[in-house]
Amino acid sequence: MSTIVQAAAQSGPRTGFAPLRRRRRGFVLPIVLGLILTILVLVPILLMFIGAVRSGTFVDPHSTFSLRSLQAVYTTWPYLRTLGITVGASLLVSLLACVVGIALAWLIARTDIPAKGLMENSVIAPLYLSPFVGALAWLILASPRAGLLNVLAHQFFGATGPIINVTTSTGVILIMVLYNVPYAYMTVSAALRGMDPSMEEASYLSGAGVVRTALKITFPVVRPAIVSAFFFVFVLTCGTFSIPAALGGTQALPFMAVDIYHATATYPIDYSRAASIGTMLFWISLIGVAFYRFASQVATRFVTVTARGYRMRFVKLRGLRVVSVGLIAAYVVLAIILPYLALFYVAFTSFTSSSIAAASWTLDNFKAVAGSVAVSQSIVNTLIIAVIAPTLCIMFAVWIAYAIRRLKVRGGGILDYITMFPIAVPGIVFGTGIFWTYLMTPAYGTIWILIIAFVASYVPFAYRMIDTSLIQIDKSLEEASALCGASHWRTAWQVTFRLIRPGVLSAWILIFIFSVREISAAILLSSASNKVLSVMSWDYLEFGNVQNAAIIGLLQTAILVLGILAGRYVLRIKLSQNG
Amino acid sequence: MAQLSVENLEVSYGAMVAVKDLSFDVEEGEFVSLLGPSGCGKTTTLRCIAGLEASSAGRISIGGDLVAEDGLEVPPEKRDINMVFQSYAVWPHMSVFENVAYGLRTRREPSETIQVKVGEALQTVGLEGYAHRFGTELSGGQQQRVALARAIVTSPRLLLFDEPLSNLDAGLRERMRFELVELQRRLGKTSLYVTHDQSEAMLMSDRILLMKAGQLVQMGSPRDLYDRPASRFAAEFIGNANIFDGEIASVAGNAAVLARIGGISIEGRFSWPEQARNSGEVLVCIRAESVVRVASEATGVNLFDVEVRTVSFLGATVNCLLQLDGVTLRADLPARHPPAPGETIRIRIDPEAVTMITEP
Repeated sequence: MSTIVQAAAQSGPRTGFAPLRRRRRGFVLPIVLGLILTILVLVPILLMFIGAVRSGTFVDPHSTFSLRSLQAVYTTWPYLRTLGITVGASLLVSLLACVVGIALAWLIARTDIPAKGLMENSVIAPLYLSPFVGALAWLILASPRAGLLNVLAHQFFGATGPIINVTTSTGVILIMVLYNVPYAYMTVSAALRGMDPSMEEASYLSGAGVVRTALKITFPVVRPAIVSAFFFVFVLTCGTFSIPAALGGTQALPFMAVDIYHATATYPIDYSRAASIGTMLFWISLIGVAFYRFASQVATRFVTVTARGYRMRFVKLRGLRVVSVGLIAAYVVLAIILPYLALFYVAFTSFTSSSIAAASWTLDNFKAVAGSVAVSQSIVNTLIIAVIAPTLCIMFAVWIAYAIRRLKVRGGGILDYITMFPIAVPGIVFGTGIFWTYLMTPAYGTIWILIIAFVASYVPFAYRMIDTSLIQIDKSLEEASALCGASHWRTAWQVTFRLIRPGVLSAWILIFIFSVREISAAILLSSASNKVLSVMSWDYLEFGNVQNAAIIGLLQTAILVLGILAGRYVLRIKLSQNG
Repeated sequence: MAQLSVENLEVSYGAMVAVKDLSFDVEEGEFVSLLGPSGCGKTTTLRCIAGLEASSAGRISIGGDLVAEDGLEVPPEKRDINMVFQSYAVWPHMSVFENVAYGLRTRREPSETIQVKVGEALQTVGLEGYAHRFGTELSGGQQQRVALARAIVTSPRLLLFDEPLSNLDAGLRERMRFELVELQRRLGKTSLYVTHDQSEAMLMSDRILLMKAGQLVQMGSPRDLYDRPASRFAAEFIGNANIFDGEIASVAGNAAVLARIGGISIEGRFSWPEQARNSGEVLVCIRAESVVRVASEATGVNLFDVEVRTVSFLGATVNCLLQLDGVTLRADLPARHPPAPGETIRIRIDPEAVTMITEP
């Protein structure tokens, strides 16, 4: 899993496979791949830019060239204010997420904290869950009037007025921090693990204590990883739709992604404005990704000679042990336990009782919602997409990675760059582009448009993970097969693809998770017939039906958990470094 | 008082015992090597002395101060020792100067003192002019020197070396060995050196501790270990001797022993008086270089006519496999006028060079 966040960081030596290279340096393969990538990735972005300077959609015969939306978005106050708030809030979120992530990574990698495997899995777990469902749960827990925590406070401590309120800018920022900590954690923890332990031992032997060693040696050595984690979270947060939208949208904290959605969903509908905001968000992400890539490249320069894996000397926490375990436990309670308790409570009780403790438990709501035609249709949609999108994505990624890394096709560098490009494009921006591209095709309004959008957005992750697996295969394994007389296809089939199987499976699971929980692109492209669970849940929330939204959130989580458990125990995929 | 004293050290991870009942002293200014094959517990021992690993039992004291005992474990930063790591561990985010100055800054020494001491340390290891380079811009040998300067600059009570030369290429390793020894003799620092390379240990050490499977096998000067191995393991690990299973035939008054190996009789000496026996099984240990070719009419003790099986050219010598009555003997003979395969030659083995070992 650590490969997700390091996606753009890896650029191993380009190992050639001479016999294959000689035979397969034609033009057909790179042109075919280039065309597919262009249609999948570049055209949507290009059409989004064109859409931004049209007065209406492409199907509208009266639409003309117009700078109106672009001008409004790039020069007038409400949009610039939103831009400022989005960037400022995202910087703050990244900063806080990194501070927490670094602290947790250091605790788990460097101290004698008990049950490390469990601790690590607990910290990473929120990654497998939908941030939108988390935000929904927090809305149930801590909305100013009906929030369960506030009601409880009122009942048991006689508090008047809300004690905690997530529908504020502070609330939105803290919930975003909560769900971004795992990304920061994974990047920093991978760097800490990769660091030569004798760097720190040398510091101890020079007379430095734990604190001085951590501040002067450990964190400076992994600083490039910290910087790249910061910008990764920044790019991710800038394009976030789910959390600010669920927690009260523009009133709490105006976010560009939410503005894009409102431009396409609320009156007056203005697709051109959506495209214009999309272009602005695109530039912000591009700058963030540029910083991220720079930091990642520096990170590879810092790689040092590593000694045999000697057992790391763990810092003894002694009395602080309880505090540290408490810190991690608090994180898990806030990110997972409390939210899911709230969801279960709302989903399985009737709302008629006045006191929380006296609530009567019932399966009726759940049965009614899960049994409705619309919901079962969206379960089917979600499952179809969750199987087809990762499968297509992986097949395409294997094809590209094999062509670039092993067949050494012409223009491999350009293909690599285009494949990685969507990593710079937030889901909602991509959704805008896809919308403009497929509006006039039969795919529009079907689940296929979602599959296209997901394959295009996630192909960089799949490609990077598979490419990493390919790099790790010693090329002599393939050469040995060729020298045994195996044809090029037989070598690929019998040796290469078998060896990258674990990487392929974990990439599949990762994209499965992404596809099930994705909301921002799905919501822009949704129609009556292609609703997925996340969109369904959002619709109920917008109509004020929190109970049904919670039930659907739980259904979606159930699909995620089943998928992950199947991957973990049936296919034996490693999902974290500690297994 | 010994500068370093290890008593009954024991390290175990669960059921796996890495170091068992190990005791030794290192005197002030002495250079001692821990030698043994990989997995013998030598690095674990070193890391226990450094405080990087916890011992299960035993005592360690440095300069008279107890640093590890049951329930007591002084952390590495409080032991006033320093270490040179196998991977150099040069901090990549600091210049050479800052790397070396780190320990002094930790002690909050005044900056003029730091300037002077770092300058001296860099001069000692031959890195003047590199102070402002970064660690990652240096070659392996130079990084090794930075690590060395960093270790000596704090004037530690004890210097530890964890296979510091094993990541260097062969030529550089040879040079660094001499430099390290020269430096250690000049500074007179008490040093403990871990290596699996017997020639490195022989060349550098005042004393060698030979370890196997977590236990001390033999301790002594390089010469002692080479000339008087006390066990089959010691004889094989150091200098790769020929070893034959024999039986004691007779013992003369002057400690000369006559042993039978198959059909032949050979005269030798017990290297350790306490191992002396009058009868029973014995290991006969003959160094390849103790075999001397003599004229075919020569007479005396330990003379054998052997058939030359193979001859391998090694430069200064040829390594020959000699067939002697069903026994195969490796011998290093001068490369000038080497015997030809198939030829029968007469050889002599000085009885002083035939070591008899009785293992308990």
